[in-house]
Amino acid sequence: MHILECQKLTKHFGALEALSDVDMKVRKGEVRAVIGPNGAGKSTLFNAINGVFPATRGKCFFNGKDITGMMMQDIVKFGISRTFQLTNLFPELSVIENISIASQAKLKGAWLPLGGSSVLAEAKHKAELALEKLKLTDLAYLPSNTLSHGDQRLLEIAMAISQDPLLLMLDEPTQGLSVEETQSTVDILKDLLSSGDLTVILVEHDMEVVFNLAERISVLHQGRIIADGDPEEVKASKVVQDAYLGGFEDA
Amino acid sequence: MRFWLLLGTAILFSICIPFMVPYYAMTIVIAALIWGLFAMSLDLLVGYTRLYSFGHVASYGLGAYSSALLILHFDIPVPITIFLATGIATLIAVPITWICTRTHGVSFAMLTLAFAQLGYAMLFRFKEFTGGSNGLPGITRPAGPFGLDFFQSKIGYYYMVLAFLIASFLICRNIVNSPFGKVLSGIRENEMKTQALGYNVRNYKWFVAIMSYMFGSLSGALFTPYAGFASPELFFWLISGTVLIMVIVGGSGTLIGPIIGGIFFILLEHELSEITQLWPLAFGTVFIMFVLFFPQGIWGIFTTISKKSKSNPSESGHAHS
Amino acid sequence: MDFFSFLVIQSLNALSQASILFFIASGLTLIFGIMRIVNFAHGALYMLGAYIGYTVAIYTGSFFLALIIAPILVACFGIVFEKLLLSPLYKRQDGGAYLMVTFGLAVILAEAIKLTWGADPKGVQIPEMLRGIVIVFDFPFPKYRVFLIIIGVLMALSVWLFLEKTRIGLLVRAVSQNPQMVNALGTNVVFIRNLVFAIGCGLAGMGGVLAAPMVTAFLGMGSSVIIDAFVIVIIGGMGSFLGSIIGSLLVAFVLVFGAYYVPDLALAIIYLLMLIILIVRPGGLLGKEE
Repeated sequence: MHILECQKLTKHFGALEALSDVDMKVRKGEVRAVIGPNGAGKSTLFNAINGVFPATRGKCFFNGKDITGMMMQDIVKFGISRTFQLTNLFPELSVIENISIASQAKLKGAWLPLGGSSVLAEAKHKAELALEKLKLTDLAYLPSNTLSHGDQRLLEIAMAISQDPLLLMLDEPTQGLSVEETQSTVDILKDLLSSGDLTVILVEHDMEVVFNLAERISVLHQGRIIADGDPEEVKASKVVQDAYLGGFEDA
Repeated sequence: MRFWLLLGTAILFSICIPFMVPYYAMTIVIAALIWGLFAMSLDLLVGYTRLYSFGHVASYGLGAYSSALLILHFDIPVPITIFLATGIATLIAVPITWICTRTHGVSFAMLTLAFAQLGYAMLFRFKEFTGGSNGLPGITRPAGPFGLDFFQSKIGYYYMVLAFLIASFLICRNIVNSPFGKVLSGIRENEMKTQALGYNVRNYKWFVAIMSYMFGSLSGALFTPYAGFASPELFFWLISGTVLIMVIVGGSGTLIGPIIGGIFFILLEHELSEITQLWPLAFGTVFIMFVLFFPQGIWGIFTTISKKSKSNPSESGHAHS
Repeated sequence: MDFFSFLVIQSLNALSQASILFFIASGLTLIFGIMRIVNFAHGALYMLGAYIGYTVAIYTGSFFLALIIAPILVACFGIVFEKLLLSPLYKRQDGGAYLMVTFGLAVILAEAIKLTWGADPKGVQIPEMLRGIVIVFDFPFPKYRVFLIIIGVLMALSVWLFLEKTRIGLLVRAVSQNPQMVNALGTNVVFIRNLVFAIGCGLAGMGGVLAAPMVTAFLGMGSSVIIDAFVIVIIGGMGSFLGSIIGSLLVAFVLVFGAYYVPDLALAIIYLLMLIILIVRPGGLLGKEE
């Protein structure tokens, strides 16, 4: 059973075709990495799937439901949560408030203008669980803009996790992190994925992270999928070698 | 606990005011409370959602004219008039705020201003209805319900305004601490992220704008039976700026701050404008100083200081840059 | 008066009014374009121009000297204001703070003017050579209004040439159309900000001097005109210079002909016009959606 299926997904920006006829199938519980050089269309693919902007053409199905052209706030309700390439937080709110707002979105009564203390309590409880998973509990009451860059990246993942998504989309989770930070992020992510229920799509530049986490890899190049397979296949693929000259060996 | 103690003291103090100040001074005290309520209503938008409305006068003016017209034409008991007028003004605000909250930032400010000006212009268009530039004089405070004439007296009206202010404050406080209020703080900090987390941001902005207009209309509706008239000045755009000053100087995002800002602004204006011509000059300068150096406002400064002295490091992290 | 000459005379009236509106709106839009600041004090600067113009005209006896000196003084005032009160806000990513500071300045300026010049309106004499009338299709039309049209067109042309033909103008346009381009200004960013702010304030001041002989210099002239200017800038597209010209013309014509055909709605009609445009094109006629 495929949890996510993209059919001929295409996105134009004016004359530029950022995505061309992308077909992608992701199985339930799979960890999929999407790799490719800068400007290959990785973030565009993310944005088109989760509704930051509508795709020009093509379709997207999630759990068998057509989610093409839906707004991003509605897509969350189906069980897709994501992080952004550039850190995207509520800067002056505390860490726990950041996550609570995220987890609250999936609760009944998230909009209640009066009362609703049980909703808030539940949101906070879920936030605490997410904090534990990402080992951020000590930072819970600090304003998020005082955190280190690495912790801010983790906080964003915690926000997404707290929504109990079926599909988690991570846009370069280790971007701008030091070697140590990257290693600890990978460890935390591995821990998170060990249950095997969560499906993950991951955009990542660091090939070590990719081969560490991913079960399957899709390679994007100039808006097209040029290869798709398990890590060994992709490593060996001639097309990928040509498009992505020496990228793997360097990393 | 501390909060309820403070609130109780404040209420008790307010109840005693008519016995402490001369009768004629009650006029200005009532006006101060009405403006406190008006400023608090704007705080829902400015302080909690960071939507800068420059047309908040529209809510005030709509409320004021609604209650004036209801009293002139139907002579309904004054407390009921206030509820009805607030309801009518809020209904008018529903489509207007829908359009305004499609935008953000500067466009929102300009759009709200435009609607307020449109309302102002309409006062002159429908002269036979609104009295044009003469306004509507001779507004009374009809007695009732149940033959009650308590609210007709100045002191009685004071207590009614006080009751409305306290009730509104408690409702607004509940709103900003509710799940809905948490989403507002998300929109204030990062609108796009809030949307990405699964909230229909437009609707949240729309609803908070309606609520803000509702409490603004309430303050306007309270004004006319107290003042005895409605006039186009109640709809003039400079009032939107004045009430924004009250919110910022009082402390946006605190509810209490704007109430205090509104009350003290009116009291000070009354006291100082008789002594010196420099009053508007002074408050303009004070306002700019607050925007530049103390964006957290008077109440914000006060709570930061009291928090620091409480020596609770885990919660004292709310610093403005 | 037959319909044709009525049309011509009223159009000339509208053009002269558009000229004054243009002086305020174009400065507003230039400043917004480069700094993303909506300058609430622009109406007060216009008023300041009128009052300074009055004083200069009294002391020197020359209206034309006033027309040069007053805008320069207003521009200098603008630079001081920008340095002192706006520049501390640049690092704070909050458009609302500008609105509030400039609004505060508008309040202060209005009071300062009242304290300096008193509450009575100050009449400014039309200079000798611009008094009287010209005959247009057998109907009299004030010379001074012709002068307003001419100076408006000249000023619009000079600013347009500055924007089109100079390097700085090119940068100003680039940033107006695309705020992310602000880096393209490089080390010049402070200089260009000051220059544009000064030009914008100077234009408002000149508008005030030009308006003074027709409406006198009076308290409150700023707070009514600023709203018209906002409407123009929003209709034309915030940051678009050409938009401010089109907006000025549109608003002036609607006001003049509206006052004749639908006198009751004259005030409301420009706001209706603006709302319709905003709903159809949220960024204004020539602007981008923010």
